[in-house]
Amino acid sequence: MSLANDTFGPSAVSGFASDHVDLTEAKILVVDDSPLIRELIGACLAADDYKNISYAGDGIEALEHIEKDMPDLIILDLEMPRMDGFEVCRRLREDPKTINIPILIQSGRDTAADITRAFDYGASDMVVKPVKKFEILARTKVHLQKRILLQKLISYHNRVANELEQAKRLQLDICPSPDDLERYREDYGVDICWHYEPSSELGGDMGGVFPISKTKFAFFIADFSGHGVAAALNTFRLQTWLKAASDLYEAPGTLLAELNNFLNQNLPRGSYATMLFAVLDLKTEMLTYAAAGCQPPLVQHPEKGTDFNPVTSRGMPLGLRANWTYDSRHVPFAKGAKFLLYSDALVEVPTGPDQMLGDDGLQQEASQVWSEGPSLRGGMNSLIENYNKRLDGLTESPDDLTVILLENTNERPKAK
Amino acid sequence: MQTNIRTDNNELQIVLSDRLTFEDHEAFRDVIMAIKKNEQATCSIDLASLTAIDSAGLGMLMIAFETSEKVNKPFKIKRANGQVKRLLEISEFEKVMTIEN
Repeated sequence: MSLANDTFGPSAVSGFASDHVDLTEAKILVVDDSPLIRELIGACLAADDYKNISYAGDGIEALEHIEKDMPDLIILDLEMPRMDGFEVCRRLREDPKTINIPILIQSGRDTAADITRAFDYGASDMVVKPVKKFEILARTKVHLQKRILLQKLISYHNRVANELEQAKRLQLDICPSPDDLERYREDYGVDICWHYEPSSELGGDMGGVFPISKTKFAFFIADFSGHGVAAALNTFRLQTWLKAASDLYEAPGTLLAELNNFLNQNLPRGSYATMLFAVLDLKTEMLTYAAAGCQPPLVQHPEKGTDFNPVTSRGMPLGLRANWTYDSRHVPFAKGAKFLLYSDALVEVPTGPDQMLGDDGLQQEASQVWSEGPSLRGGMNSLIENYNKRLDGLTESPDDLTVILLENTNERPKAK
Repeated sequence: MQTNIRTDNNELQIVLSDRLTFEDHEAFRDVIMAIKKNEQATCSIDLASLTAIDSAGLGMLMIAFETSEKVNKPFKIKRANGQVKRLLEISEFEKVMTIEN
């Protein structure tokens, strides 16, 4: 495969400027107190086939017209009775609705002071009287083109922003809801805290929980390499694959091996996902997991005190190498045991100049937080609060954040 | 990312410094091309001065390895440290390629 076909390939961006734009439908307002000049400018514009030309005799009339019917361009005289062109400029630039309308000044006043003042008040351009047809047509065309391209760009931007917002909501829908988590607590006696915060852009973090039987359920955390739309779309691809792979939930190592081959065939070369997939058996009180290069989870065994300790998450990230194998590893998970899973963002926050929290820092912090005996939710909230404090004052927008914390409460009121 | 590519002792030596991130994907083509056209017997990537790497950077190192693998040239990554070393370890790269200290 050539390098051009992988993640690092060039992106195709279509040019707005190449689109044909019909300017003759543009609405132009000509403002001058002299009927003769208005007619003269109107005739110039008609020569270039402009069809929607309106007129106003002074500033007040102009503002009234603009209020009713927003033009695409204003050709404005400076010296007029009732309200002059400077004041019209100033008012239009104060109003967000008219702040971007191109204003082409035509005036007999051509001193440096006049020109400077007109631009200071917000004029886009200036032609000096007597009006020359070629000049007014050329400048009209330039400003209309700019205006229309800008409008297209703004509407494109708004549409994309809107779509990204919808996509972000879809990503949030993949996460288990508070109701789902409450059901897991009732059905399995496992308390689960789930925190997912998508970045301002779309991201590649995801996680989920699947029931298997009355005493077993599976859960996972995954993070696709890269950012943005492509990474986000891959999270949906993974979700679909996992839904169809329920026969593998009890064998995390096999599941990752098969998922690795699927992603290896379907992701661009060099792209991958880190992941941890686990199954929890409440009957044997054993947590079995397989990992592919994600952050090392932290485990707390209450009989050993309140300290959290890491368990290994070593493994080839999914999709990088075909036919890779993944070990299933076991962690005893008796009453009171806790398991903390998290994405990179939680530890990739600064704690000082050139210093990140890091895995070790998080381990110490979690141990410290739980030494004060908080509830599961209280401890989780402390970790998130500390994270947010560390983000304060950072200019870079943070990555997606996922934090999942489970505790075996060993209380199953609904046991049948 | 800054690159320094030289040959010595029948080895293509690539030195990467600063940070290896998504923004370097265009510049990394030169590294891939150098490995592809490599007439030396072996290839090494020195990461002693690489201070940070992101997920895209890790993918690039794998592509560099696979490019070398395709032309049957022994390939090694050496002197990674700090966060770079940690990410290589957690991703089990040593099971695929030679990682030297």
